Amino acid sequence: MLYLDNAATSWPKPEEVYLAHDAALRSGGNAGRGVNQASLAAGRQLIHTREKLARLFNIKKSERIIFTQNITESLNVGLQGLLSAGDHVLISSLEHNSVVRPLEYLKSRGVSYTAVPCSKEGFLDVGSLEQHLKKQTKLLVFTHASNVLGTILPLKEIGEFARKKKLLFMVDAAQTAGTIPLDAEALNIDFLAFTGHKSLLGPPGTGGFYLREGIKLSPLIYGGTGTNSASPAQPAVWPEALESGTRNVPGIAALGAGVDYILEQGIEKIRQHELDLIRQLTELLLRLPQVEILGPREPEQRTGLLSCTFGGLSPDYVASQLDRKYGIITRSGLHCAPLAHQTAGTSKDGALRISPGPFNTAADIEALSLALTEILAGEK
Amino acid sequence: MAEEIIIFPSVHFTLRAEEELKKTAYAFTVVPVPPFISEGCGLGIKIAAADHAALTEFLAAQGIEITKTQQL
Repeated sequence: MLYLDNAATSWPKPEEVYLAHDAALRSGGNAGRGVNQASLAAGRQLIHTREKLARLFNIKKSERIIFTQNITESLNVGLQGLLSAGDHVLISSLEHNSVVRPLEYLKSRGVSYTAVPCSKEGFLDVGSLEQHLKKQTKLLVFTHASNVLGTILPLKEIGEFARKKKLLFMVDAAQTAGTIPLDAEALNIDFLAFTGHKSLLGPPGTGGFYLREGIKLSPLIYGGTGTNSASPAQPAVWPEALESGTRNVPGIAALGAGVDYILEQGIEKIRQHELDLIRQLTELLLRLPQVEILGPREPEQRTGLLSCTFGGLSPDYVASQLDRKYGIITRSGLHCAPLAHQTAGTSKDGALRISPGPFNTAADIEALSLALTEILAGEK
Repeated sequence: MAEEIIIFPSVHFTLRAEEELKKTAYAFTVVPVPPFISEGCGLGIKIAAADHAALTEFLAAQGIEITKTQQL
């Protein structure tokens, strides 16, 4: 299998991630449930991974990092917990359904939102945000990079705009956490949602978010936290206040090993490798006349994914041929981001998305290029 | 030797305190909180009462919240 779908989930993981998961699962214990050795050991796994994430994202207080099962849950907790009837939200026209669908639901609770148009390549003019502001605008929600077009949005400028206008700033870092430096403090991010199983190199079933201290957030889930058990009221102290129910300790331990890998390798080195592969891919695809590359042409303006279309040939057909005849894994369709495809003009047939990861090589990109050449020539 | 227990608002802070105290030479143990203490998360850290001032100052400097200390 030649795996080029790291934007969906990263594979393979560093060996240490598999080992950490196995070790934690065999150790047993439920974090925060008792004073026994097993429970305390499990609790320490959570602390260690929280501290590593705090270091990666420049977050001073690790207790402000909450573990969830994925970034969709993180975004739901944030959107449903921060917004009230009458509030208005600005998003980009690239946002994933994990932002759009909760906001659509929240319309029934009196929340409204506006999708600020991006260019066909996915670029956002921050100067255009002002015209969409309303008196009731409370929150800006922007992806760090589109999961379809790859375009990196200007978080620094958006953060400055949010600060100037006294608006909350939420970032969906699904496609960038672990490959592009993210300093929550410097970017004025109030709510940073991340997933554990993409570029943070952890297993599926992990993710989380950071919320700046002082911002009130209602939990989505209430229940047992292992603390103040005698009280029927949800405790207020973080992180337990937002972590009712058993955490995925083996998954979080493995996520910690993934973050260790990133910190040891250096995020700049990981990003450079990604850029090299995307540059190579871009150059090879430009030689194929039927291929139209979506999003920015310059690799530095995109995260490590590239989507394309093939003239009259369906992306689904190409993906299926790559998979079945060449063992090459990519993803076709709308990628749970119909807004992004509307922006790119590809709503009808979607696109083929190629997303190399840290363990892909130049030879993998070359093999993909040869396969595509043959498929497009109708040879196989 | 007189002892006391430091109570933290959550398991997170208790275990963070444990991590930081491991880096020092102070003697301490993570213990269940006696039933007569209603505050905290059910876990606490037992220390020598003589180390109270130094340890509480140390923990505060690490950003670790303490709910209370209770003499045993």
